[in-house]
Order: sequence, then C-alpha cells, then structure tokens
Amino acid sequence: MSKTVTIDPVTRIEGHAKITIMMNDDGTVDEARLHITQFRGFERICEGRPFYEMPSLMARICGICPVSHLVASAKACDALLAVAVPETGARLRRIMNLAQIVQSHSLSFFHLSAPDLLLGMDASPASRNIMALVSSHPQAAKDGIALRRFGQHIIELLGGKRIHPAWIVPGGVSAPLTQEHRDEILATIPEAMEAVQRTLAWFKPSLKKFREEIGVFANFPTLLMGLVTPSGDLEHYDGRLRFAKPDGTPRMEDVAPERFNEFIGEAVEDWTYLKFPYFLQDGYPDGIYRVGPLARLNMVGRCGTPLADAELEEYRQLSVEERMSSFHYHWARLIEVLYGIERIKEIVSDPDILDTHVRAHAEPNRSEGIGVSEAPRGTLMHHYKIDENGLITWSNLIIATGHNNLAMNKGITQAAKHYISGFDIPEPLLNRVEAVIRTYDPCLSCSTHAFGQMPIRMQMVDSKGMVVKEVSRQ
Amino acid sequence: MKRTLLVGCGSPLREDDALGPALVELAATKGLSGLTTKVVHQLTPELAIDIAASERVIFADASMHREMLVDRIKPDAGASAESHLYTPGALLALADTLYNAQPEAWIIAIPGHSFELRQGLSVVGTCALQQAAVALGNLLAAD
Amino acid sequence: MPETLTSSEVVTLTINGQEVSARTDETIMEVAEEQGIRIPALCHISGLSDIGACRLCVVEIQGSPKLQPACVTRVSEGMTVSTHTDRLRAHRRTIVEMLFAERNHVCSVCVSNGHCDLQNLAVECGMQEVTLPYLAPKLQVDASHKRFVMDPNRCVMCTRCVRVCDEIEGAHTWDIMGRGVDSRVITDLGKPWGESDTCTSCGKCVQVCPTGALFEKGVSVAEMTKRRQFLPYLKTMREVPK
Repeated sequence: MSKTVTIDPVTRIEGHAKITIMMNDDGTVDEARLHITQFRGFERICEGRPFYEMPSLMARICGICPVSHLVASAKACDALLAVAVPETGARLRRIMNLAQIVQSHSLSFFHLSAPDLLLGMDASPASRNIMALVSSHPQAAKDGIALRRFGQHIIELLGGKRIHPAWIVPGGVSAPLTQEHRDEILATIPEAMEAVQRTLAWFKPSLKKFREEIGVFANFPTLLMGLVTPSGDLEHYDGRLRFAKPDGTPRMEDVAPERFNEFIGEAVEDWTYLKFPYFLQDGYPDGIYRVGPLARLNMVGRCGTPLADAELEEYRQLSVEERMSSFHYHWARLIEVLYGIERIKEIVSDPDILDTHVRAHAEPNRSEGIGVSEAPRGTLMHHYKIDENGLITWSNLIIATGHNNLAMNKGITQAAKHYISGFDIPEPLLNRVEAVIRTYDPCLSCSTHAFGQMPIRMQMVDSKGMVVKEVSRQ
Repeated sequence: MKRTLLVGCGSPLREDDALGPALVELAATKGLSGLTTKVVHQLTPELAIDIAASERVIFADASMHREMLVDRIKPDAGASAESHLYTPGALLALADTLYNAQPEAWIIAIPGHSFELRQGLSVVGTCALQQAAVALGNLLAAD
Repeated sequence: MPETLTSSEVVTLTINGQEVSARTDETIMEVAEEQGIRIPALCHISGLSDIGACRLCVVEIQGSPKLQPACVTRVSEGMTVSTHTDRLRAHRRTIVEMLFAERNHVCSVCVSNGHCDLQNLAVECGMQEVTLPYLAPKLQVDASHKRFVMDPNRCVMCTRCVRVCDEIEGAHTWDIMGRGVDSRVITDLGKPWGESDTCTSCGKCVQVCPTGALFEKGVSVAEMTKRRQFLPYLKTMREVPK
C-alpha cells in the first residue's frame, strides 16, 4: 500500500528572483536591485521568419498567458497588413482577451489576496495559505476556482484545447463562433457573475480590518499608463494610450498606441536582462510609471458596464492617497473580473457575433507594425519591422513586468532602507520584499524563463562590491 | 475501467519536461473508454473540478530523480500552494474539501535527463517514456 | 535502374508472404499499392516520375544483400519481397531522423503542422525523438515571390517541386544546387523566386511539397493544407495518345 511520497515529482525549471542590496560604508542602504538573470532572446528567434508566423511564435513566450501575446502580436501584424479587422473578428478577439484577464485575475486574487484577507495578515504563514482557506472558507475558494474555470473554458471554446491556441491570426481570427459555443458561453455567465458578486460582497467589508496594512502598502506616487477608449473609459483590446498623473488625471492628451516610442524610452542596466522603460519627458529614472489593473482603474473615467461602474464608484470613495496603495490591486482585479464577465455577456448576446466574416486578407502594406493591448498585468507592446518580402528584420517587445521594472526596484529599495540598519538582513525584510514584488504579480516566465514559484536569493554588497551577507529562501 | 483522469504536466519546449504530456499523448491514441486526458503546463486549481468528477486520477510528470516512481498519493492539505504552482496532493485536497470527492490517486514520476530549451525528448527520456507507458498500462489494467 | 521494357509480361512474385501477379513494367511500389500494402515514401508521389531519392521505400528482396527502393525497382518472376521487417523499420526511422536533424523543423509554429507528410512519416515510422545531433544550418527564407514562400529550413530535398515544374508545368523553374548535405532547391539559376523569368506562378510546386517548405503567403500556423488531386488527372490528360 501507499507510502508517503517524499520527492517532489513536479519538477519545474526555476529561476531565482535575485536581489542585491548595495550598502554605504556607514551601514545604510544605497540601493536595492531586482535582477532578472535569465535571457530568452525571443526577439532574435523571430529574425528572418515570415511575419505571419509571429502570433503563434509569440504565444510560446508563455504557457500561462499565451492569449495576451497572441492578441498583441496579431495586432502588430494587422498593422503590417494595414487592414481593418472585420468587426466580428475584432469582437471575438476581445472576448478571448477578456476571458484571459478574468482567469488570470481570479487565480491571482484567489492566491494572493484571499488568504491574507480572510485568514488575517497576522496568521502564521503556515496557516495563512490556500489550503487553510479552503477548509475555513470553502465557498470563497469554490468561487475563485469557478471564475478561473469560466475564463479558461471560453478560451478553449474559441481556440481549442491547446496550450497555445493559434486561433487569433493576422487580419482577424481563423474561425467564427458557432451558435453552439455561443450558447455554451452564455450558459456559464450567470454562475460566474454570482461568484464574482459573492466575492466582492465579502471582500469590501473586510477591507476595514486592513487600514494599517493599506497604509504600510502605500506606495510612492508614479505616473500611470494604459489603454483607454476614445472617451477615456476602461479598455483592454484597442483604443488610445493614456499617461496619467498619480491621481489619475491625464498627464497629456491620449495618443495613438502606435506612437508609444515617442513617449517611452528603454534604459538598459548591465546587471539585469530586463530593460527599464521610462516616460521620456521625465527622463531616466525619474520617468517611472506603472501599469496593470490598479493603474487602469485609477486613470479611466468609467468601466462602461453597469455593475462594474457601480463598483468603480464605490472604489472611488477612497481618497487619492488611499487609491495609490498597492493593496488595492486586489480590489481592482475583482472589478475588472466583473467588468470582463459583463462585457463578454454583452458581446456574445449580439446576434452579429455569429457572423462568419471574421478575417481580412491582404499582403503586407507597411514595413513596420505595432500592436498594443492590455494583458492582465498591464500594457503589452509588440513592435515588428519586416523587409519587402514580409520577413521579420527586427522586433521588440515591452511586457507589463518591464513597464513596472523601475517601480519594482524602487519599492524594494524603499523596503530595504526601512528595514535595514547595519550589515545584516533582518527576517521581515524578505517577507516585505516578496510582498513588494508580488504586488506587481510579475510573470517572470514572460520576461525570462523562470517557472514556478518565487524563490528569493538576497545578497548584501558593501561599497567595494564585496558580498557581506547572503540569504536565500527556496 | 474506472472513470480515470490522466493529467500530464510539463512544457513541450523543455526536452524531458515534456515526459508527462508525452505519456498522455501516447495513452490518448489508444482510445480507451473511460479515460479522460489533460495536458497542462502547470497544475492549476480548476483541475480540482475535473478530479472531483473522476473515480481515479493519475498524474504524470517528469522528475529529476534517477528512478521511476509509481505510487499512490493522498490529499495533502498541508501542501503550500504558492503562486501558480500546485502539487498533486494540494489539488486532491481541493477536490476533497470543496467537492467532497476522494478519487483513487496515483503519481507516475518519470525520470528526465535533460531539460534544455529544445523540442523532443532526450535518449534517456525516451527510454523512460517506454517504461512509463508500461507502468501506466499496468495501472490501468489493475481493476 | 532497371532497363526500360517495351512490352510487358505477367509474372508472379511474393510480397510479405503473399503471392501476387503483376506486369513486369510495374514497380514494387505500384504492385504493393494495388495489394493495399502501404510502403512509406517521401519523394514518390503518384503522377510524377520516380527517382528513388529519399530511400524510405526501400524493401528487402530475397537474394539481394542490398535494400532496393520500391518506387524504381521493377518486379520480376519469382521475386520475394518484404516491406516491413525490423531491419527496414530501423532503417526508415533513421532516415526520418536524419531528415529532421538536417534542417530546422519546428512543427509547432509551422504552416503545415498537422498536414505534413514528414510529420506523418515520423509517426508512421515510430520516430519518438531525434537522436542525431541537429545540424541547425542557417538558412534564408525566400519570400520574394508575390504569392508563395520558400522556407529551406523545412525542405527535405525530395525534389517533387523540381519534377512537377519540369514534367507537368513544363517551366523547369526549380532545380538543385550543391551536393550532399549542402544541396538546395533553387529557382532559375539561384535568383530570388520573385525575380524568376520562367516561373508561371502556377503553384503546383507548393501543392506537391510534402512539408511547409513551400507555402502560400498569408497562411498561419497549421493552415496550409495541400491539394494534390490535380496531379494524376493532369498526368493522364497529357498522356492521351496523339
């Protein structure tokens, strides 16, 4: 009969989040750095390939959120073709993108927020995890799972049961929605809607208990960036690019996303493979900005769907300072989940969604194409150049984790300065640093190839560059 | 045969990490009635719903160990489920607690040899796959 | 090569232990096909001349130490042929592996994924992996043609394109350059395809290509299905006695 399995058979190739703390001679912190030490080189792999292959090539950057890369890549290819995607094709892509956001946010909320919120921040880590949550709050756990399943199921209905669906193609989508699948999507909506509303119902009152944490989580002010509709509302698939001040008011007039290069520079540091995008007008590193669900909700006018708008209004009761607290990422994700379900329902309820004209065909008409969309974690930019025959000569990707790179490093530095005095690494710092990084929910497998959980290795380095202390956590 | 769910976990772009999915694909071609298969990159919580609907669940995954391991596993409510990564035991615990389902559960840990960025199994991995196929066959035939 | 016969007679031979009768102007491949025996092949395609290049269709003939390609070996009286021995299976698997190792075949992002003769052969021959070291040559995609693309990374040098262009279309745009592992299919005298003076843009080469080496511009992953029904028809129509 059974014996206890002691090995961990789930082998994943992992990467450490490596952090260096640079010390001054007087024992104060100079700077802390998050190193992304793996290099994937996807941009190089694409060179010489026909641009038509890009969406499926790019989808392979990540097994967790291939859909986001599919969308941004296909949009960049649309720009190369210089075609207007048939309306139904665009709406089908929009459904898939929203489904991706719903499932990703649900997992993130379920994992990161729910245990802290329901079991208390003071509970010991051993009892403050998913398993404990599952026993004490089974309904909350079921709702989290149901929401994730909802998004995943729609992605499978549209793109097939593959890890990397190839359904989104340059010019549109490869197959229209069948009536059968439309009905199946519609049938799953009430359950998902109930689940997210139940979650919001316990989540909001629980916030009162976390006044203090919300204060501690309060972050430094930065600019915000993301897509908005032409009228300034929530948008994930298309629209215009907004740069907003910390309080959410536009910093300048919204621009076409294709013009991002005029406003974003990319700095390179020799200690990490992940570049540092910054807002050009403010220079480097002052042009720090953030992307993601919180940035989106803090800078849009409305969501554009009734239930989500009501929630947004409630959220906006918070002061501007409170809204800057990263703690509210959780709330932002829930509102976006609600929005996603409402929007999907709206789109699939329109009979035109079954239209079979879902793809435009053309030869490449431009030598450069830019595709921008909102991934769950923030703005995703794909930028390609092709030769006269349609072969990729150059490509550049800016991913959400990249946009947040400056902010993540600043947050870590802030935490290190707060907790460190003298040449020692105190225990709470590790937790705090992890919390800072987690807030951004960085998908390291996207920026690099680190899989799985987040083991941290932290080094303390003196002014001469010598390692004086090293701690790690698996 | 018992209603069986076979879950293969791993990345097809990392050589032997694809052993789990490879075993599932092999099994899927046999057209066994009562066998549902799933290939995933990582174990994610919604799998608990599928697990709860099965009488038996078998996880196939690559392992870093030399020996192949086929063993019964139990719900592990103490498993930490950090980030996006679940253990089979944690998923069983989810199925147990949330959906009151206790399917018979097995793990087939297939020894992988090389996990580089490459498609296709290594030589050692291929041999291990054959072994695993035999082990899976025995498991499925056991009832 | 067998000598060309002007008149044919009927002979009896044995294929896989089964006695069959056939005409002497038939190849082992043709007879096997008539008997419902599938011999793996890549360069062979019905409607084009056979050249015995890929060596996948090799069979064992009793009394001959060498393996013989079924597509260009004529049958003879009393011949005893085996098409699926362990030796042949191992041989074929190695050939398919060599084809994979020689160029850069990445099925998951290929236009022909799921409709590819090479992929099907790998399955048919039980190839689970490539044990040989990849040569990973650096090869340039030729996308200069208005409608078609040639990706040498996926070419298996079966020369179906060369033959269909020469024998059916009569343009002879395609040909072979170089020797051995360095050989490549080229258009005209190595000009980019789009600048070819002889190409009629008929697309037959694309349709007969077994892999995603030749494909239509604008198709995405797994979307390139090839239509080959035209080939035997054209061939027959052209052979109608004058």
